[in-house]
Amino acid sequence: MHTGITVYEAHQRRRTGMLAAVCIMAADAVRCRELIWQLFRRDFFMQYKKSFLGLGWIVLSPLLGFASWVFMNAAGVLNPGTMDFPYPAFVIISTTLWGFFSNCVVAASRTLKAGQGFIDQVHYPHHTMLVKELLQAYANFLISFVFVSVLLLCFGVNLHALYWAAPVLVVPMLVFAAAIGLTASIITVVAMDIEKALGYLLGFLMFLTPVVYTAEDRTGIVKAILALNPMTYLHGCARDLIVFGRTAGADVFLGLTLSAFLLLLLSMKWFYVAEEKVIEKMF
Amino acid sequence: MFVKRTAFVGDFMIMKPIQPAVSFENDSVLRVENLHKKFCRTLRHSMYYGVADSVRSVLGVPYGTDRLRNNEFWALEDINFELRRGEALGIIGANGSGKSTLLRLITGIFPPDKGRIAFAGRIGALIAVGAGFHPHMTGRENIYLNGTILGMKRREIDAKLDEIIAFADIGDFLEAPISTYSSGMRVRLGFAIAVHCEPDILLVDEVLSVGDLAFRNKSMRKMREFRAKANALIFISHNLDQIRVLCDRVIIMDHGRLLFDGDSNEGLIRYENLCKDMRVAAINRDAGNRELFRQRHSDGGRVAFVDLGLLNRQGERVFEVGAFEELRVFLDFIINEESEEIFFALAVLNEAKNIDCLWSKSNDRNRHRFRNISPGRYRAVVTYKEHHLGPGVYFINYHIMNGATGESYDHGFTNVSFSVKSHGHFERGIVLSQDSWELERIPPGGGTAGGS
Repeated sequence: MHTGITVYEAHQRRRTGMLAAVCIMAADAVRCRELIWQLFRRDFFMQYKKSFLGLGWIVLSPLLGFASWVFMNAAGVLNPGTMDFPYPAFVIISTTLWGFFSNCVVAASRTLKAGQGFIDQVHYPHHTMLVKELLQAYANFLISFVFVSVLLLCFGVNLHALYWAAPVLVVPMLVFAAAIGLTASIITVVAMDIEKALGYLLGFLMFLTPVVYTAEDRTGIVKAILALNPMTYLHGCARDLIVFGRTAGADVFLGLTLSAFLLLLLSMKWFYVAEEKVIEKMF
Repeated sequence: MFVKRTAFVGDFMIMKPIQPAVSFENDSVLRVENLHKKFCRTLRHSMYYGVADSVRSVLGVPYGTDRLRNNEFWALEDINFELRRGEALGIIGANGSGKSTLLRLITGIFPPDKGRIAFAGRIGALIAVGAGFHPHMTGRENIYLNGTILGMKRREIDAKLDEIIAFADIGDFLEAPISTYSSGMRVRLGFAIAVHCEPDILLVDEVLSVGDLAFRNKSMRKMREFRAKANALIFISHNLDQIRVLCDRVIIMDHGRLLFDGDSNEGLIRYENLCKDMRVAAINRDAGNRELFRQRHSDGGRVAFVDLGLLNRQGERVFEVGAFEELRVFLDFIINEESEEIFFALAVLNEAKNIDCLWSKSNDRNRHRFRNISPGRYRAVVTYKEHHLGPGVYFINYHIMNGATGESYDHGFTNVSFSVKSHGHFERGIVLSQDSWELERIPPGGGTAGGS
């Protein structure tokens, strides 16, 4: 008689509760840390292997965004609102943070696709790829952050002590992005529309979020939209803390952080259960 | 039997309350019970069902996966078998019969729609070699990457690195990016990593046919070593010789169903016959759309061909005959004008229709002279008491002539086919014969020294 028997049954995961699903996913991530590291290494270090600029592309992208916003501001097209901080420094920090959020959403939505090339040949816990994808987005952010910091210091910008807490302050954004992306990753396998829509929605959401302008001095419908948009707080409060060392909506920020964690738990359960219904549609 | 069951989800164990048990007795290492898997034929339905099922499963809304919905089909239906420690099981079947799907379910890549798979120990799958290889990484880096993907720990890879490198035999290329490798080198490296995973149950899907002859032989030796260590092996291949050498048991899959489960020699014969049946069925299916004649020469109606085919001993029409059995071919025709003498020639051609495997003439050596044939419908039958045709598909041509004048009445190159089935032996070639073999040692300097 054997011990340690593995059983695969129909609808096995549907019977798993939310907490159990989250525990399984977390335990798998720990157990598969070597796999996560190997794939992170492969995709992170090899992504620009055949390129002259190499990892420089990670900083070039926000830099180009920064240049365009500064140009628009200088041309008077943009009304960023009043602030006691140099606008170019404000916009480069803000767009770097937004870029991180946006990259995290896209990365999380690639959770299943990250295994393309071996997902149909090897059994592995697919949810562990969420960690690998987010690690990659986070590593890209850290490189951008170091570059931006050097740039700001070179230009003599006074940075608040909380500025250096940015790698922690972005965590709520990461969690919220992971929840959105993980949910989308299931649908993306079945229908490509979500993947396409996600790109457009993120671009659109950026304009509905005070990324290149401040939320103060806004009136009417814009003010109402900004108030309802969770990214106004998750991104805006984190940025304000980083840039100014203070934020007006700390309580909302904390509440939304908690909500983002809850949302992630729900999306993990969704992914865990729904994945077995769509996995064969990847091939 | 009811015992406390430990259900695994992924590889993480959750203790469940007492439920109907999964227990292995004796040397069983894998049990597949009532396994079903369905797929969808159209992309649109697949998209719709995918979204609907995933939403329903999360909301806990029950939905019937026991039944087929519009445009769905069973890729696997009611599969049951068991595998014991040390056993090598071959899975054979035509393309699309469900072999690879079954392997993917056993590996856990696809979940079942109905039924259950239970196994003890670690399963390793060799479905395609080099999973996840990155072209810009070196051979050494890819060994660690691919090994990890296949479920090995770093310390396991460290311990087996030299063996893997030696088995792959890639020499100085180890530190070069694998984009610089030949396809054979890449395959060798991928296979070397995979076979060193040493799972309890190894699933191999048609990958032993890769590489050059020397590497294929080395791979086969590795498979035999694996078997000798009392691990279990499931082997999928279209190469029946490999199956015969490696496996002591085979299952035959056909359209998602298990047709046969038993001794490999018997199974392989059945499978060869099944393949021939399918070829004949395909040929016969096409027959409806095909002209009866590939070519026909008729003198204008004095004798008209009606039908041609095989008969069994009871005089019923059949489409197959066993090896070394009696072969009876009939030819139906109508005589419209009295003929002073008539004779027939029949040719049995191979599947490619380029070799006359059997040829006979009714008036040969004056054995049968059919004279003064009045108008009417007739049937000529030729019987071969013990034909020597090898297993395969054959076509029949006929020729009806005037025996007195040598005029040709009707000459047809037809698409009428039949098959010869093998019974109990592996038989290839177009002619069968009883054979015996001897082995003699030739001493240096020539001559034979006897011995066998």
